[in-house]
Amino acid sequence: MQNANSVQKQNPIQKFVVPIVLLAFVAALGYGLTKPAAVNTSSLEGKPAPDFTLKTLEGTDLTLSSFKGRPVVVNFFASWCGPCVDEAPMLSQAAIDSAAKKTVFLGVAYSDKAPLAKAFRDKYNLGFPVVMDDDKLEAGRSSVKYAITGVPETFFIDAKGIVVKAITGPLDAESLQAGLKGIGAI
Amino acid sequence: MNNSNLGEFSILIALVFCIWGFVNSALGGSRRDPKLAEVGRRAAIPTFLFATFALIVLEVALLTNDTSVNYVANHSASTSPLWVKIVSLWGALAGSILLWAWLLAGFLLLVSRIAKNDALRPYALATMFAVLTFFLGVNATVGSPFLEVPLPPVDGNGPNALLQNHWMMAVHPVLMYIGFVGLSVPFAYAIAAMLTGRLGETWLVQTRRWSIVAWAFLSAAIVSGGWWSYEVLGWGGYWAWDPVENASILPWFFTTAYLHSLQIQERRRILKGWNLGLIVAAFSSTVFGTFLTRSGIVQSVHSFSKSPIGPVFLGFFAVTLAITLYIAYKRLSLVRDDHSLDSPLSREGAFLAGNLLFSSFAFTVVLGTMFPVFYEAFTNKTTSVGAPFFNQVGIPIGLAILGLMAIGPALTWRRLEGVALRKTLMIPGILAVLTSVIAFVLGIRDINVLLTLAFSSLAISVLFVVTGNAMRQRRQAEGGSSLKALGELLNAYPRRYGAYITHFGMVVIAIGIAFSGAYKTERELAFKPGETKTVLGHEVRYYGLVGEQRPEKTIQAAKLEVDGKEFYPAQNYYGTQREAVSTPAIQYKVGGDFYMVLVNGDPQDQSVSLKFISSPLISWIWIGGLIVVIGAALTLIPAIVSEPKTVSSNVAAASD
Amino acid sequence: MIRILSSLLILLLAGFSLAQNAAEDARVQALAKQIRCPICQGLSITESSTDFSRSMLNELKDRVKQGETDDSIRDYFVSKYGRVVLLDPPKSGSDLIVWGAPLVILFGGAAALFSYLRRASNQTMPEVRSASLEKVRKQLEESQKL
Repeated sequence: MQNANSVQKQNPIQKFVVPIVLLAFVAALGYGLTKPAAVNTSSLEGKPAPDFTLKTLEGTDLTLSSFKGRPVVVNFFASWCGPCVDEAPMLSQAAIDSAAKKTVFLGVAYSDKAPLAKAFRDKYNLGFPVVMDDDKLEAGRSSVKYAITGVPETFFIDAKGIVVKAITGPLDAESLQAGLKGIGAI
Repeated sequence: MNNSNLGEFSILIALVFCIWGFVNSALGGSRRDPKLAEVGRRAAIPTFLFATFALIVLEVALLTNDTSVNYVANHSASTSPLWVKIVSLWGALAGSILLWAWLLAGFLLLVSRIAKNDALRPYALATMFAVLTFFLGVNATVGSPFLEVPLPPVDGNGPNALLQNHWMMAVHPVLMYIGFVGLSVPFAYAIAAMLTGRLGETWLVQTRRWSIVAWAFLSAAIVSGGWWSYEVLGWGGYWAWDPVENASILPWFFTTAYLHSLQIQERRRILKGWNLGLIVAAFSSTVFGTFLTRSGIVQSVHSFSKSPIGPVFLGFFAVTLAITLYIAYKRLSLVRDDHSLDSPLSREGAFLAGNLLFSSFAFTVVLGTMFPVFYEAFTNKTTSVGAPFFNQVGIPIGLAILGLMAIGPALTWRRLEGVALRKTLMIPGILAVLTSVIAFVLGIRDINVLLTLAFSSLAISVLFVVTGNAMRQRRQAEGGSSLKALGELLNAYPRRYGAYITHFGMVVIAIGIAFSGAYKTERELAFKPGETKTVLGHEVRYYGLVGEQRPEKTIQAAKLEVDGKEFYPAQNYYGTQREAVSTPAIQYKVGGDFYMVLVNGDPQDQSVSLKFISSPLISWIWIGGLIVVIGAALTLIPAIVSEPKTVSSNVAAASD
Repeated sequence: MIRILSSLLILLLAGFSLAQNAAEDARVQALAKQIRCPICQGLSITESSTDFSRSMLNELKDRVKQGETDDSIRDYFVSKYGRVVLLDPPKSGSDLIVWGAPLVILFGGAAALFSYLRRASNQTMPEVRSASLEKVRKQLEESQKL
């Protein structure tokens, strides 16, 4: 409302307030646009892996911390998820390749039904235990503990129980190799 | 010649005519050469024709499933129903830019045909040609829908699941684009007014109707968009302060402020610079909004994913601001506010206060939307600003606007004697207090709802009192029945009574927002087939899951009987997209809706989990939206002026 | 007597736990409204019905039941999902900008408007003597009567 009057007076400071504010605004927008998006690093990297106890497809309890002393790869997946299908053969092969170092692979089926998860495991020859996420039990709420925001997500945990690397989204051969190396699994 | 080439070709021709029109209009204006200006004006015809042709080519490509055109390959599928194929034109970015360009070309043609032949016109047309050049330019380059696909796939990827889930897709975006494009007319005239130095009231008066039309379309688009989200998103709300929603409300705020403040300039010849600023802000906020939601700079449910169009729109936004500011600083020294205000306690004072509130609201929305971007840019951390922030800041501002809107019509232009104001506000004031006391006694404790009710009752009773006073004056002057007086008033001042109706619609919307916001309740329950449960006062019986397979989607629905009627809340699975799009079932009632969502269903044992939401008075928002648009349409009716015979009716005219 | 007393006690306890449940529910609702569903834009975990928000809501309920404070629950979610999980920035530190700026604009604008109104309405308003005002009004009334 000031404009009409202030411009008339040609007050040099007032005169340049609007252009400067707008320039700053546009510049900030440009900066925000060109700046690479902040890399979405998991809050867990470098921290102890949260523990959970879940039922395997066979119905027995499995506790993550029982594998302490061995490198662990935790893969969140679901039978209904497309990218999970793509990376399943890779995981299956990696589990075989890294067996020499006693690496543990663990599939966590998220938002899935046991029969479907079982069919998925059998179809892609996953030779490692698969557990069902269970958000009703505090001990089993693995999705919140690992703050997953989609499937697949993969966490590489070293023998000390520290999450060394977390991959959000599908794995590729490179990231899988790097992750395994990082925890001394191969 | 295939569709790709044909489309690209016609865009190019349209672009050439558009630039031709710009050059001639601009030269015709600056050299005061009517011949050149006429050549420029006529260029609007071929520009529109070739833009139309491009639009038709894309539409034909969509309908014939010509996947050699990249837009069809990426955003359409042969299995879609006919209407989805048609509206896929604006289902994705490149096509919606083409629609925008085409509408702009249409508005340009319309202006070139019906606008008064004056010194402003060549400049106004040149401005519109310049804007259109940008949009056609985008369509010819980074945002081309017509790129040729070397190895056409058998079928396209299909449209976005969320978009084809509801027929509103055919309506809402078009309303929004018409609103956006409509704002370019007053903007063009504002630029013309600055360039010619004719900063008087002419350009305002000439574009008042265009502005109202644009405003009405924006309002309709926003309300219909709200209803659309309510119908498809399945959370029982209609507005989540998503960036794209924020982007759509910005031009509405600025235009609403503008429509009120231009009346001050019409009457008092002040605020010339401010009004120019408002319309420039309204227009550039449409560009800004498009940039915001199409560049991927902010996350939004609506964004069409990252695209190279972001920087281009940012550039256009910056250039628009730079040029406008440059012209403004060269010319605004000419602005002299000839008159001044008489008293803050006047219609002018209320409009100015409203201006402040709308501008602050707009600022808050921009700030809240952009804050995460700036925060991330400077700290490298992500943050979010969500609904609670916008509600906490926005509700008080909204209530203040409602309060101002309530007393505004009671204030007269220039100045008001305290006595007269007291007389007009006496009964409405009592009614307002009474309304909230009754509401309180009936158990309403939410302060926002109580205030909304008080202001609403004040607003409506003020409208009645003011209209009653005008009727009495007219009867005293001319005799006759009250009904005759009312009819004459409506005929003589459609603008005033249209505005009253619009205000009434806003009151209805405000009540809907307040109640549905404060008294929304929800329950989530598991059902087995055959079970009956009482949920939020409704008898709900669940029969079982029903499924349907259509070419483009698979539907899984729960068959429910609620209060004796059948409802089918469903989940739709589209083609290859795994994510289910839920379609809630809604029992609409004026007193409150009952909203049912299928959260998940197990096809094996037929057990389901259902979410129920009861929202009182929520449909008042849609009804109010309709009233607002009707009121806005009424203001466009030309006044049938029966010769005023006496002083008193002149006074009435002055308080239009 | 003992039976009556004990049944009274049970009733009392039941009532107490009911009231406690209601208070807990209210807390859960209030907190959950501030937590964003990580995969749906702009919706809180109470509004969205995705599996992710469901799990988070369950976690939140358990934590409320265990008597954790609001702050520590919020901190837990932030430590997992980052600050984005809060729908609103906290009202402290640099985030005060986003909360304060609208107020600054509103009150600054109001001050500017007020001074403008004062200037604009003082400029050309010569004092009108109430006597002459009365005269004009009388004339007006007379002309209306005609």
